[in-house]
Amino acid sequence: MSFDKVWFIIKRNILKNKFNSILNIILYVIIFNMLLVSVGVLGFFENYSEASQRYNRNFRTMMVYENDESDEKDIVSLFSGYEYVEMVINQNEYCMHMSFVDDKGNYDIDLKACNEKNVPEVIYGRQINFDNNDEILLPEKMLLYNNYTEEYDIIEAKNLIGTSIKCSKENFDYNTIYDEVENKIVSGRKDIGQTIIDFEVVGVYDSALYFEESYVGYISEKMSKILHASDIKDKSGYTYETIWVLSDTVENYNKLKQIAEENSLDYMVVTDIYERVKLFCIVGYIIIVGIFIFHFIVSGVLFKIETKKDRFIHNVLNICGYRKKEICKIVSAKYFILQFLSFWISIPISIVLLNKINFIFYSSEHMGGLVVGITPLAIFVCLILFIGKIIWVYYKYYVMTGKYTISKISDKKRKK
Amino acid sequence: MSKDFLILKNVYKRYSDDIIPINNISISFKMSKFYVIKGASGAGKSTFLHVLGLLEKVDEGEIIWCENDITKLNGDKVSEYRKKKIGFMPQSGLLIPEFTALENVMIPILLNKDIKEAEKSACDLLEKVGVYDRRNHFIKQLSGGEQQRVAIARAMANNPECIIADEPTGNLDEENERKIFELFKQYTLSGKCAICVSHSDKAEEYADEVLRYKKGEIIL
Repeated sequence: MSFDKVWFIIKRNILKNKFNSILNIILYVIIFNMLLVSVGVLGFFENYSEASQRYNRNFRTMMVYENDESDEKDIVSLFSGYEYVEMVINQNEYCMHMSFVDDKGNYDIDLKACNEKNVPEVIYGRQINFDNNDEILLPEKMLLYNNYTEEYDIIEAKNLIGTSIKCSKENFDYNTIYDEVENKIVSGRKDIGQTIIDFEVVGVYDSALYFEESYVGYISEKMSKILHASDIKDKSGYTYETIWVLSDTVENYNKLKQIAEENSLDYMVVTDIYERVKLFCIVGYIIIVGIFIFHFIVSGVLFKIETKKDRFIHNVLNICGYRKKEICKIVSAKYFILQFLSFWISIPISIVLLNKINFIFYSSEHMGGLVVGITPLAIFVCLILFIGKIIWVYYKYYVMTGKYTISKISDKKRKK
Repeated sequence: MSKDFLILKNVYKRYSDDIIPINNISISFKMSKFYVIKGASGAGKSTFLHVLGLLEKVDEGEIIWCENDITKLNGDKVSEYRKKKIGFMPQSGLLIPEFTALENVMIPILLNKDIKEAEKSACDLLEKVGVYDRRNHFIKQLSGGEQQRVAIARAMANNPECIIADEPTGNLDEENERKIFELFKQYTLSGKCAICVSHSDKAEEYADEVLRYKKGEIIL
């Protein structure tokens, strides 16, 4: 039976039962939106987890604190002995705040330490030569706040390759200060001048890929220690240094925690997002299964109500000589049309919802250049639901057709 | 002399030990004849018609249609018979309220023709039964007599060998009753058969044969 004949029969049915048709469309729009958004978000978390394991240092970084039993030297020598430890470095050497001045403005940047094991891959230029201390890698596209103009400037770092940039660092004396008024020692720092250095820009990396902000540059670990040496460390014993320990892989990260615990060290994970992301993924799968179950329960109830109403017309078709398959085709076609319409209504709604989610994610944490969107997998899951529903309707109706005989309809009419 | 095209042999149908709507009926029906079945309510007349219209199965016996035992058919083959050989008119017509008169008649024709041809054929049929002017009205907008005539047109849609009608004149007045029975009579004049259940006395004026149905049996 051709589609135009099927449409001839069902169009009146859809229009006459407007309430049910609209209810069905609303249900499918909700279901499709839930699937598109949840699968999109799940896909994002899975990609985030995978990408972070490769590129996000924070997933495999631990902060270890000096205590009465172990000082910085002890901690460094303890962890440095392990081959799966990429770097052991004082917090102030790991990342330092600097100012970068050019003829257009004065910008604030952060410089992070790296070595041969964890230096980011360059996309333009060349890699840092770790024998030269004054080489720097910059993000491909820097969005920097200009302290002169009080506006944001975009600087294409590719254009700076081969040139020098002047950076300055504030030096501090971290010795604790005695407060005569309070009559006690308070922790603090005093500004003791600046260190100015010319860095040669040798290469550019993709900051989004490495989950870095667009104002983070990389210098050698050796250079970082040299720069930090111009600060005067706290000698009071009232504050403890923080040492950052990086493992080479996320799997080996747990070994760092084990070592810290065995040596009674105080430590903190830099981020517990890895565990949370794993949990989100599990929750995501459960939600998706839940959506399917919810859909089949609700649409099963709606289907029962509708088939009661539609039984009349289907029995008339039966009397007129329509075969079971033809009647099932007509029933399935109706649901096909309603679902098809609902799916295309869902797409723009999902795009809006996913954009909102992106906004929330980007407000809270840097996302490695990843975005939440409608994924091919989400479309595929919707398609499974779509086709599954049509097959289910066809099968249900195939089993039902002919069971409700015309005599029962006649009896009902007689009673009326 | 018209031949037997529909033969029932020792047909039984029972719902329970007390309710036996068809009790060992053996009868044959001929072409070009108009049969009227009369009997008290609850005798089993409607069930008998449903069995003839292949809407219900029998428990025992044979129903032979043009030398084919249709009690052994199921599924698509039964639908084929309903499509080509039987035009069934249930009680109250059972017209689809959300369709117009024209669309109701088009439904069985769509099985064999495309939409335009079905529309043309349906218009011809409605003209024949005298409801052409009301073809674009919905069923609720038609009078009782007009609805029944639309139901007849739908039953005739595929030019079946036999029209089977259950109480086609229900609550109609004399004038409309007459029109309905005239349509059945005219149909049989073209070599077809019409079998209908009716309480109306008017039916006997038009019938070629009147069958009395009593407690699951036909009394000739």
